[in-house]
Order: sequence, then C-alpha cells, then structure tokens
Amino acid sequence: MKSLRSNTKAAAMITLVCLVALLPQKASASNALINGTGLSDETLFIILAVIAIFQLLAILVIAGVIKSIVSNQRIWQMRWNKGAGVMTLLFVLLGSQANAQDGSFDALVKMNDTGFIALIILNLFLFIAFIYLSAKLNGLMKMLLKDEVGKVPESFMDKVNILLTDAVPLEKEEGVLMDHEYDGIRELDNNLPPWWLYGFYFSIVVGVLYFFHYHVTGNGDLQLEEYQAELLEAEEAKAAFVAIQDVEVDENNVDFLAEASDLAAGQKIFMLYCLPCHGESGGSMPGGVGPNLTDDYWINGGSMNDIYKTIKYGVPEKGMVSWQAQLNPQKIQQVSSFIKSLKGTNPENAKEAQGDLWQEEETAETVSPTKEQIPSSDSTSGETESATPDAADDVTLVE
Amino acid sequence: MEMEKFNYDNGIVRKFLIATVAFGVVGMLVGLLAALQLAFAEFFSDNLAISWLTFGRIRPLHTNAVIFAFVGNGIFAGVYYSLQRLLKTRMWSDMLSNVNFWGWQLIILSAVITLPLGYTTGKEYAELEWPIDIAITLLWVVFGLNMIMTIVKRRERHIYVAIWFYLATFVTVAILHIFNSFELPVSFLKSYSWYAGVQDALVQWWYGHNAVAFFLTTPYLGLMYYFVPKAANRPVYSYRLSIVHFWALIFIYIWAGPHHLLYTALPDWAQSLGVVFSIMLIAPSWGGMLNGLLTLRGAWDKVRDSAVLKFMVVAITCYGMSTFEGPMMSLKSVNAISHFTDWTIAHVHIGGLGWNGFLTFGMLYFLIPKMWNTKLHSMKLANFHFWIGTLGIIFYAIPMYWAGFTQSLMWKEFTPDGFLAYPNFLETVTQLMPMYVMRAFGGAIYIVGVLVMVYNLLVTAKNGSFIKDEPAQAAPLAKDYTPHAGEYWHRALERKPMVLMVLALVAVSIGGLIEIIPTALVKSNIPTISSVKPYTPLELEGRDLYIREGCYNCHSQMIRPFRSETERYGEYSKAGEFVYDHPFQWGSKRTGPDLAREGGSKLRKPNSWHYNHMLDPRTMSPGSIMPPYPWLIEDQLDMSSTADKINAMRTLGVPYPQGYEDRAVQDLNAQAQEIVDDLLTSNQIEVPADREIIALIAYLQRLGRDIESTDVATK
Repeated sequence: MKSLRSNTKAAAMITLVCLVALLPQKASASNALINGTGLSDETLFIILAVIAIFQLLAILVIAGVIKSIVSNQRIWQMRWNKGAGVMTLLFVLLGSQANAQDGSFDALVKMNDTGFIALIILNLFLFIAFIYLSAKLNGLMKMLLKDEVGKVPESFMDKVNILLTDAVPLEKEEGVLMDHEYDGIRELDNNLPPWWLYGFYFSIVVGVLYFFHYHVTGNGDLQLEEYQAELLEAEEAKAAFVAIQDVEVDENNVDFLAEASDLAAGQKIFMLYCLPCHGESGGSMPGGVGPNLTDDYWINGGSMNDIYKTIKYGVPEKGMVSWQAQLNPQKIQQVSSFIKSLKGTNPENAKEAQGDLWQEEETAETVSPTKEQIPSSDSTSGETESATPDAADDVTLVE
Repeated sequence: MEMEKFNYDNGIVRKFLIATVAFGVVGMLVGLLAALQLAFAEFFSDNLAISWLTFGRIRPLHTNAVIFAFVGNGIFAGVYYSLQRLLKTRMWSDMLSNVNFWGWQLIILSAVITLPLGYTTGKEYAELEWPIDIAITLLWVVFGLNMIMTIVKRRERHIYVAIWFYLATFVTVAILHIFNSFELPVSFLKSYSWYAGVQDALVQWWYGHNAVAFFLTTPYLGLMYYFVPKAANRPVYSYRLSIVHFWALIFIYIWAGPHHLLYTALPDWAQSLGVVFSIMLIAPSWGGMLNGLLTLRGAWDKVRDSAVLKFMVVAITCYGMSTFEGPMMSLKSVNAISHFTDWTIAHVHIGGLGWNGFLTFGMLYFLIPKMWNTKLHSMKLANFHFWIGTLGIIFYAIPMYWAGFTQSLMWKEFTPDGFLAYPNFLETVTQLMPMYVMRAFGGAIYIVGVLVMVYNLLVTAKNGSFIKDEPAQAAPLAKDYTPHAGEYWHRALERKPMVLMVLALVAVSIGGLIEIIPTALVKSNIPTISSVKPYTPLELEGRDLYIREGCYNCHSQMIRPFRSETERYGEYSKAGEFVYDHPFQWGSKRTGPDLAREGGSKLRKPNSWHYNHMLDPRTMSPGSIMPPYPWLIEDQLDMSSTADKINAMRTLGVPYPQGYEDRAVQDLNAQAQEIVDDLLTSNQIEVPADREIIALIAYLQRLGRDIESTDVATK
C-alpha cells in the first residue's frame, strides 16, 4: 500500500511541478513565445489539454474501480451508476467544449491568456479530484483485502493487476463462478477490466467528436481542402526555391550544352526514360515505338528549341509522353542536347525516316557547335567513356 | 430424469479436418508461388510465361484458397465438433452434414479450376463467377439449416457464447455474400456486377471488410471460446465481457468497411463513418483477446507444456495486434501512407498466419489426439512447428512493413524544385526486391512448419484408433423451465437462440443500410460528369480481358487527391468517372502504377508501346516485374457475346441506344482496324485485327480520357 501511495505522490508532485512551471511562463510572456523553453503557445496548449485528458481518464478508471468494489460483485448492476454517468456526461460536455474551441483555436492561443488559465485551473481541479479518488481507492482496497483474505497485497504487480483487470483473485474465484456449464466449460463473472471499459467509452467519444469536427461543425478540412492546401504549400516552396536559382531554361531560350558532363548526364536520362521507345542508340530499335532520332528527318522539328518543346510537353496524339512533371528544365536541356548529339550516328538497324527533312536554319548557331563539340568531347573522352560506353563511341565514330 | 444415449458424429469432423489440412497446404503453397513470382520475376517471365500461372490469376487463387478452403473447412470442423458437444446432441442431419462437406469441396474444386482459367468477377475475395456464387449460397443455407435444427433439438437449455458467434457468422456471411454477389449473367461463366463504380466499391468493401470480420474473426472467436477453456481446463474469464464484446463487435464491425476507401472518390461522410467506427472497434475486438488471454490466468504453467495452448496464445496475441493495427491504419493520416503498399499485406498476414493459422493448428493438435484416442506423436516436432511458424510470421511481416514504408516514402518524395524524386514508378518497385525475397523465405519456413505438423498428425492418427461415433448421454430438456431468480437478462436470450439470431441480424444490418442506401440513392453523392461516356464495344471487351487477367491485383485505378499522385498520374479520380464501371476496378494494391489515366494526356503512350509492353514488359520498362502476356497476341478475341454484353450493360443502366447491340461488332471491328493500321503505319507491327491485344490496347488508351474532354468543353 505504501508504494502505491508513494507512486501517487510522485505522480502528484510531477504534475504539480509541471503546472506550476507552466503557469508563470504563460503569465510572464503573454504575447511572445516562451523563448527559454522553446515552447510555442500551441505546444503549451496541447500539453495542457493532453494532461487534462489523461487526468480525466485516470479519474474515470479509478471511479470505475471504486464503483465495482463497492457494488456487489456477484450481481451485474443493471441500473446505471450515477457517478459514472455524471462523469461521462461531464466528459462529453468538456469534449464538445474543446471542440467548440477548435474553431477559435488560433484566437484562443494568440489573443489572451484566459484559455490557458482556464485550462490550468481545470487541470488543478482534476488533479485534486484524482488525489481524492486515489486516496479513497487506497482506503477501500486496504479495508477489503484485509478483511477478506487477511493479507494485504504487497507486490507492485499485484496492485497493478488489480487496477488493470479489477478481477476477483484466483483463490476467491469460486465466489464468481457461474452456475452453468457447457461440455465442462464454466464461466466466471469477473468485472469488465476498467481500462478496457473506459477505453471503449473514450473511443466512442473520440468517434463522435471526429464526426462532429468534420461533418457538423465543418471545422475539419475534408480531403479536397487538404489537397488544395497541399498544392498551395508546394507552390510556395517551389517559388521560394526558384527565386534563389538562376534564370530558368525554357523552350524559347534553351541552348545546346556542349560540355561532356552535360552530355553524359543527358545520356543517363536518355537510357532511363527514352530507351524503351527510341532504342539504346536512338535509332529506335528494337522496340521500334518512337521515331529514329539519329537521322535528318524530324516529325516535330529538329532544332534545339523544338526537341526541348517536344520532350517537355509531349505530343499526345503521336504517342510522345510529356516529361515536364518528371524532368526539371535543366534535365530536359541535357537530354535534348544528348539527342541533338546523336545526329548522323547512323546506328545499325535504324528505323526508316519519318517526318520532314530538317535543315538547320541558323547554321551558325546550332550546327557548328555540334561540330566543335566533337573534338571537345574527344579531348575529355577519358572521363566520358567510362560513364557512357555506347553512345560515346558512336559520337566519336561520327568524327 | 432419465438419461438419453446418443452418439456424437466425429466422422464429419474428421472429413473437415483432413480438408482443412490439405487445402491449408495447397493454399499456402500457392501463396508461396505468388511471393516467388514477385521476388524472381525474371525467372518466371523467361521460363513460365503461362496464362494460368500469372500473378493476376494466382493471387486470387491464393486468397480464395486460404480464406474459403483452409479457414472455411477449419470453421466447419470446429463448429461441427463443438456444436454437438455444447448442445449435447448429434448434428440434426448426417445427410446435410455430408452435403455441406462434399458441396464445399466441389466449390473449392471449381474455384481451383475457374480462377486460373481467368473466369472471375474481378471483385476481391468474391472472384468466383455466378453459378459458383449460387452454389455457395445454397451450401451456406445447408450449413445454417443443419446448425439451427441441431440447436432446436438440443439437450442444453442455454446456448454458450461460442454458438452466439456461430449464429452471427451464419446470418452475416449470408447477407454479405448475397448482396455483394448481385450480378447479371451474360453467359455461363461471365457476369457483370449489379452495382457500378462508387457504389460497387462501397458494397465490395462492405463485403471485403466483413468477410474478414465474419469469416476470419467471429467464427474463430467462437472456436477460441470453446477450445481455449477446454485445453486450459479453466473457466472463461468473464461472462459479462463475452456479452458486451459480442454485441459491440458485431454491431460496430459492419460499419467499418469504408476505411478501405479512404481518400478515394467515395463521399467524405461515408469515409468518416469508416474511420469513426474503426476507432470504436478497438475495444470490442480486444474484449475477445482479453477474455481469451485472461482465461489462462492461473494456467500459464500449462502453456509451457502444451502445444495447443502455445499456438493459441500466439494466435490470440496476433489477433490483438492486428485488431489494434487495423484501426490505426484506418486513421486517414496513417492510411495515406499505408494504403496501396505492402503494409496492408503485412497486416493481413499477421491476422492470417497468426490468428487464423495458429488457432487452426492449436485446434488440430487438440482434436486429433482426442478423436483418435491417443497422445500426440511428438511434442518435440510440435514445438519445432511452433517456433518455426512464429519465426515465419516474423520473417514474413517485417520485410513487408519495411517494403510498405519504403515504397510509400519514395512515392511521396519531392525534390526541392518541386519534382517527384522517383518519377519512374519502377524505381520504387525494384527497391523492394530484397524484401520480397525475404518475405518468400518467411512464408517458406512457415510452410515447412505446417508440413512437419502434417507428418506429426498423420503418425498420431496412425497410432490411435478413430472413434467415428462417440457415445454420450444427457437428459432431455424438461418441458417447463423456471428461470433462476435474479438471473442476468441475457440468460433469457440464451434460451431463445432464434431471437438471438434475429437480433444479431438487426445489429449487423443497421450499419450496412445506413452507409449503402444513401450512396445508392442520393444523387449528390456521385456528381455526374457529362463527358463521361460508355465504353465502345472494343473497349468493353478489352475491359473484360483486363478483369480476366486480374490486372487489378497489381494496378489501381484510383488517383487520390495527393500532390504526389496528381503529379505522377494526373487529376485525382472523381466519383462521376466510374458510373459505367461494372464492376469497379479501383484495386487495393499498387505493385505496378495506377492506370486510372493511362490513356490520358499525361501518361498516354503509343499503341505500339502497349503492344510491345504486353508482349514483353521488360523491353519497354527494363527491370519490370510484370509478367509477359504473349497469348493476348496469339488468341482471337471472342466476340460471340459482344451483343449480349451490350444488352446486359443496358439492363444495368448504361445508356447504349436501343438496337446498338446489332451494330456493336461492326463498330468493334472498325475501331480494331484503326489500331491495327496505326501499329502498321507508325511502327511496322503486323497483327490481325481480331486479336485480344487490340481490345486491351483500346481499353487502356481509353482510361482517363473522358474527363479531359470536359476541360476542352469548358474552355
């Protein structure tokens, strides 16, 4: 008994210390965050609410145990226990109140301290009730157990067991053994484990509140509102990210990237995403789904801008998929450059030409870099070759 | 009072026990095959590309076999054994008992044949086609009638809690099966679900969820209430807990179905009911666990020495774990992570391998020595089975949880510049290969345990002598009965089993009615979209091939309103898009990507891509674990029932004009020719227009197109 009481005391001390610690913090920093602990108003509020809920649960459980100890254990009390009824009602009321507060949560948290003080007072009140009830329970258990068994349960586990299951001890089981028997199976009439029973009540209350929150008060975000919020957040994050980037590449300003590292990166992307339809060499075999990318004929235009645009938006009616959701502008630029570099590689088994013959209009701008690029790729071939075995060979073959 | 002498029918129990073990082994081996197909896809593609061996047909065979053949026979065995003893009478009719047994085995046999051949309704755990559905209904009535008449002529005044569970099982499974199987036959082995789209989804998961509740849970709780106190020789912990948790469980369980459809196009209010009742379900489920485990109070020393109790303790613990995990997965924030991943697979296998499997094994280790009047052949082997089985569950579950988290996180990851970190779905699948191998290992050692059990039980039976008719005696019920003064009110119900059964029926009907009727009747629940049009005949035939091949086992058609999904697949799915889908094909697992907008502008691929991909997925998606479907290119499309299909769809409310069935085949051929021409001109692929592949391509290219024409219209 001693240890149980000291446990209660310890719990009491901890809760009190917490409450006392929170009170001045809130009071002294009414409009700012509590910098010392790094606790925001919201966190504080939630902590307090959670403490209140746990205390309530504890009270309910203890009340339940007392109820069943006091009542005759052999007869199932059909009439509603008034105490438990009042407690449950109180709980429901508190719950709905908390729910009502949800809507003005921000206001409550930000505007004044009344909410906090009310919560703290509620916690204190609950705490006193908790202490009082545990003391009663202790007294009762002591009385009962001494009277009937002649000994007081000493081990901690015994007490936990009693608290958890509220079961009749094994040695007194005969007292709750029911009179019927089925094929040798007997039944005991033990009490419902208090934590189970009140857990059940609690889950029902949570369920009701959940439904109210989303479908009656309309405070909760349903899935489409949630989705819109998610999109908005992503948009903002993206805008913030883009703001610190260089000028974004698009189909109007895209340039051919002659750097070997860019072409190698482009080839990697090509192998991952383009290969299934356009073939490993870009000549469209063996799948033969997409057109040959190595010849002079282009269905949707063969300039750097055209290729970029085709990859970015796709050509759905021709079967070309849009990649702008999967590849960022830089990656599209890299793979476009790689495709551009395939021109004239004449791979084996290439697919026959489709589309129109494409002639570079701005020869100075696009064709000549291609030619210049090859020696430069050659000069760095030591690096490229390891990363890009096949196509790099093809590129050098052109030379 | 004079005692009456009679015999318990052990013969029927023996038959069901043998079937339980046999189909347990078969069903689990089929499961292992499915696991190996995912883990070693390349081997299967290269060597075993056979239509009836593909994952899409094997997985339904596995689920049906373990649920209805293994657990189903287990239920019958346990019920036929315990019912007679709890009522002190022989089964009412030996003939019905035998009809029940042989009929059930015939149904299983027909499933074993039809499912691999591709005859399926396309609704999970209810795949069997309409003639078999009718047979199941009749058989279930036979079972129910035999049970009820046995109860009527009982020699025990009150019925025990196990029988409450059996009765609730009987009425609820009957309702679930009948209502979910409403389908319009087109031909002998082809039918369309009566419901479409959202309603079909709701009915299906009302059924699917409660198949778990009333086929895998309540009858097994009944068995637990009989076998655990018998094996432990201890009184049941709390009669009151039995009452409270029984009624709470059956009432609440039925509501929770919509938690399988969170974040889908199902109306929000129905989803929320699913969440709320799932939360409330924790305590009633745990009531059963507590009553089971606390019954062992004072008998834990026996658990150490008894194989039966060991299995049962682990079974009950697994039951407790999965019934806590289930409600957690029903919370929307958790479901957003777990749904469509292997987490669900892990969850059901904790329940399946742990709760159903281990409880069945416990029952077998209890019954066989008892009925053969001998001792268990080897305690050592039983212990070995226990440990290797437990390890099997762990080796199965942990990799699946890991795989679930991994894949979900990969799906949802974005780069800082706002792109999907893994835009290629396949990357998120190949990542899971080590986990799939480990899972197959876990499943394999679990089966090794089962095989050891089979040997142990066979030797046990050989050593003993079976008593087919076990003599017993009991006094008949007196005509008059005066209740004890001050007895519990529930005792009166236990004297009136028919009243109890009707009340159970009322309890389970409420939730279903409240959820299903408004979804079917209130228009605002499924806003119509004017641009959504019926499938063309070719697309309809393609859709039937999609169902035949079981594509829904790996591909969902439900884009949830998450940024990570709309970025990957396109606009989220709307209720109005599915109004002509008999049956719905939303799926429950994404081993492959979602296909709801496979033909939409974001994902659309050329016809030739699909052609090559079905012929050999790995040419178009290197590293893919999808099996190849070469027979789609070899086999001619069966157009003999196209007109009937159009008629059937019109009966179901799809607005094909009158007389369209006469033009259907003509339209079908014309559309097929277009695809064939396109394949030839743009890709030099030569394929006759009458091949199945053409219909499937047409269907895939149609997916998600309708809604895009709305955008055009509104612009």
